[in-house]
Amino acid sequence: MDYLTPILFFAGIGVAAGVILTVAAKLFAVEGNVIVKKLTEQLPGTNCGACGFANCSKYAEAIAAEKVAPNQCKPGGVAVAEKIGEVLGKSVNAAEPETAFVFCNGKPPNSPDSSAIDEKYRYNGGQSCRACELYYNGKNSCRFGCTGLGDCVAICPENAISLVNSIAVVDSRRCTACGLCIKACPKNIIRVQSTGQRVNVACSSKDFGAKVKSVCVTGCIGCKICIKKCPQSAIQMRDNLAEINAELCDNCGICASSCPMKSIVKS
Amino acid sequence: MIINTVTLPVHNNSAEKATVTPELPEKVIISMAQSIGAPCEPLVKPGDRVLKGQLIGDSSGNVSAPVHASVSGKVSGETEILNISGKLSRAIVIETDSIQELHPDIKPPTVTDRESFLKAVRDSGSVGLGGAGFPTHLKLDYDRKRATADTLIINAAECEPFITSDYREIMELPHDVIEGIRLVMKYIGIPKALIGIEGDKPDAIEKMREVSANFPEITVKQLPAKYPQGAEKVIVYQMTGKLVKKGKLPLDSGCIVMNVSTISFLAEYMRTGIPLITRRVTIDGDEELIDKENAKNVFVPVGTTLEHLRKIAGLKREPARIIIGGPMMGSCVYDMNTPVVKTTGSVLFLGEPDFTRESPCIRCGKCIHVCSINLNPYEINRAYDAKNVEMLKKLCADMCMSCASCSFICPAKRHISEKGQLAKQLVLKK
Repeated sequence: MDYLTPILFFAGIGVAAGVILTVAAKLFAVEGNVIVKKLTEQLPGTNCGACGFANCSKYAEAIAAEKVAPNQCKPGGVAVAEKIGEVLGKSVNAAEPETAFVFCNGKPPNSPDSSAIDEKYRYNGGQSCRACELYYNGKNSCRFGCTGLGDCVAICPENAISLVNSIAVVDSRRCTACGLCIKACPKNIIRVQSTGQRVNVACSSKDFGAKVKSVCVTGCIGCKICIKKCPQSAIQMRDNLAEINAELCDNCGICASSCPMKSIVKS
Repeated sequence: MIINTVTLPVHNNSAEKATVTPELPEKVIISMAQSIGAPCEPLVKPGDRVLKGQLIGDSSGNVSAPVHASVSGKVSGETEILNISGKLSRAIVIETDSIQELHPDIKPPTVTDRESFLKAVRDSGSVGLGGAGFPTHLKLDYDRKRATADTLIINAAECEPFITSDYREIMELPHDVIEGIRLVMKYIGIPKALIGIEGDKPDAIEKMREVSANFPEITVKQLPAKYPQGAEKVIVYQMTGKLVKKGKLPLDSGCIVMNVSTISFLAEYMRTGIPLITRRVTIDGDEELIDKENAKNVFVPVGTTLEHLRKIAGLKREPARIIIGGPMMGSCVYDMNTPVVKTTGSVLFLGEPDFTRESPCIRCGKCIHVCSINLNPYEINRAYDAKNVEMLKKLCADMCMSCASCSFICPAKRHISEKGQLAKQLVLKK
């Protein structure tokens, strides 16, 4: 009998408090902005910042206040844009789907199949691309290419980036084009572009051909064959590097098959 | 206030040996970017014959010092050098000949007043030999509206292990040091000078006291034999008790800090007119690589490659690391064609590094207790990991001078100083 009294006592307090709180919540409820709440629920909630706001709820507030276009959520794509349109009661055109792309596909000249990239020196410091960049422009022989220590892999909220043979590769199916990897990359070799762009020059080296060839077997050497072959005249040479104009390119892939260095890739 | 310091192991095998002049290298590679500021433009073409002391690079930029040929010979070409900061700079390759003819224009400059003195200092190509590479003429031609310098501080602390080139400068040329100090005091108008030498070099202190005995305006002060004493902010505080606050120069506290080798070079230049083309370099390293007897100071022409220095050093086996500068703040070099520049004071040949991996921070606070400018390296590291720029600004991360005391003391072997550098970059970028 001794133990029954305290159990009943505390259970009683629990029930009483529950009733009081429920009544108080109903009586003193503060009406929040319903639209903001609904919008926040529709947004992905990754707080990636691609829309230009600190987090999803801040963006929702801005949409509700009609300060910003409602189609800026890149990770959400078409699905989220439609749902936001339902909440707002008007049609929202989703922004064009975009994906990040790493403009480097480097392979060392001596051992094309090895997992390591050609290195100037052995690096023992902190495992971060930006730290490695403090010493002689990074450990790789190529000044422009991917360092391969994975700053972008670490920051990607969608786990869309992986290192393949020490080069970062973006999985375009997972990528939400939030752009965090662009800011993390010390080499500035990641760019966000339309998912419709299938043909890319996977190289960022602005060095002359001979120098590129001495450190990489897939680097652009500036031979201009792609410029001559392109039926759309969509390729131009800038700083010894071929550049594809996305507006003119029709993804035919002739440049990719004619590139002697295989630095133009078609996905 | 007591300045936080660390005690480093002592390595001074090269200290008590007179500087030797080894054979000349077959070629020298003279960098066009030997001072901070805009790099020089080469004034010679491949195929030209140049003479020792000839002007071969100059810049119209404000913050630059001219570059001179350190040997006589034929210009065989131009090459590029990758600096540790990642910048490519142009460099001239000269094949040395056997004559070693001095350029006929070389004669002692005529110095009568402040202007002609500053012009002579610029023509000498002098930069801060302690390592920063700030052109000397700019340091002396300071903004008079901003502040008036009343103290000349001569930095002879040389607080890093292994390096003894400044110590040898004092032991071999004490009169040049005094002469240089007196020249600067006279023409720039500074009433007093202080020479700071670490307490573990009693011979140098005694020598300087002896030669400065007749000059009451020059005082020799003993610094504790701790690291870092040679840092600008630290030495100003230790010598005068004045604090150099964030974003300020020693000049704002009325001080001009100059390296002892720079000041001694100025005296030599005023006497001979030979510009800055030779450097005293300490060659030393781990004892498993380089014998005690082989550790020495050498006079080498600016532009001597590491390849040649390795030959001079007489190593027992291949080094795993080569460091230009001291073990704390120096930079590892991978390219054997890297040349000696004006600011190179030592080359160290070291064995395999300690491969202990980073382990988690145990929050012992040792890094906080060794930071000589009272930063909080632990919090700076945390704020950098969170990319919290506001916090980093509050923590004054941009004041970090990368002395690496925190990394040295860390029992968990964390790369604290490296992250400090990244944090500094982040703050300065935003």
